[in-house]
Amino acid sequence: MSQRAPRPARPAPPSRLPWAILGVAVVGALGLIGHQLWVNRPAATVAAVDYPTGLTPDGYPYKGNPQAAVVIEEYSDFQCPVCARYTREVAPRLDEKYVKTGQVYYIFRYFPFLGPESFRAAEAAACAAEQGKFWEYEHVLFAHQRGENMGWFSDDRLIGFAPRAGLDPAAFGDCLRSGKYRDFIRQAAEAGRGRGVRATPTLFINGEKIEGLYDAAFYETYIDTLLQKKQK
Amino acid sequence: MRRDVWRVAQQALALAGAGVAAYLTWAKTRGEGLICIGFRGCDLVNNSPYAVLLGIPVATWGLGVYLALFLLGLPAWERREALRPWAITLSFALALGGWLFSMYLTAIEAFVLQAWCTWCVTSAALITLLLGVCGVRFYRAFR
Repeated sequence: MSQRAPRPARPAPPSRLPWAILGVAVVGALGLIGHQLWVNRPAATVAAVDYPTGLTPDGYPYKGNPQAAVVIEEYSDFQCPVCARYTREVAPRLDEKYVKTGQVYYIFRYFPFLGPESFRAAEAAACAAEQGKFWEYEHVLFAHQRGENMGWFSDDRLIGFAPRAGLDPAAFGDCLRSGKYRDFIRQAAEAGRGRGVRATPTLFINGEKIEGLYDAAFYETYIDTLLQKKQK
Repeated sequence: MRRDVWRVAQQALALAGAGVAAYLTWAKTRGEGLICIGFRGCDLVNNSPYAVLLGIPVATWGLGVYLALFLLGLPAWERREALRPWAITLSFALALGGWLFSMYLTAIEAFVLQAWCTWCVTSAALITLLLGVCGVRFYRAFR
């Protein structure tokens, strides 16, 4: 009877290899954490605007020259993604070409219609305007827009954004919690509806209503035409 | 016999984790609201930019890790002496990597989002237990 030779046992893994595998797991996890932190790094503090700003006699933030030939009124909601695109892609070009050069008087009109966090964000923006930092805070709000009424514009977060816009967080928090602009924002939204605003962004350029988002060249052509007419 | 207790514990915890991760993945991909027990920030956390990693929902990554931990706890690995140490090592490595990432996400919930999600906290607890179980199995295999 032939005897089968016992099969040699497979060698056990070298003792250092399991530790190396654990090391790879740790380095991999730390790498993924680092990647996520980098991708989600907070937006830098917004630079202060370098053109005339203030509040209109009826309390709305403005930028540019109040005596300019062209007046733009923007109706906007801070939770509206198209408004964020407008602020990111169109507004800087209009600022550079017309607001800084004193050719346009630009007024922001609150039109919160997308729910409670839109309304609260508008109240917060009015508090920022009180400290002369509306345009900086507007930029921060649109940069942190993620989803509607999910807590992204909760009171804690709205106050947390304050330092990025150069605001005094304590005074800003007091202002927001006091609800002092609640009626003002309600009236602002009502006034917008009274002018026929149904969606955002809606612009009134010298009284002519332009609803929705177009590319910057469209607005430039429109404004240039108005400026040429005024010169004649 | 005692060896089996730790292996079965690994499978049971991994299966529970896979259930939680599958629910979070389903809610994320279907845009459904989460049932939030004891906390109020489930949807905020699951829809935050931190809930996505390399374009894939974090919950889906978690589902993959839990399923791998379940499969690595199958009795088939026990019956092959040569492969058993590898299954135990990979289990511990996955649990360690998963636990580190889970602790990072828990810190994000606490300090960045300032919101908590019941299912994410449950998953963090499960991966912590899995780290302990897989750590014991690793220690017993390589001491």
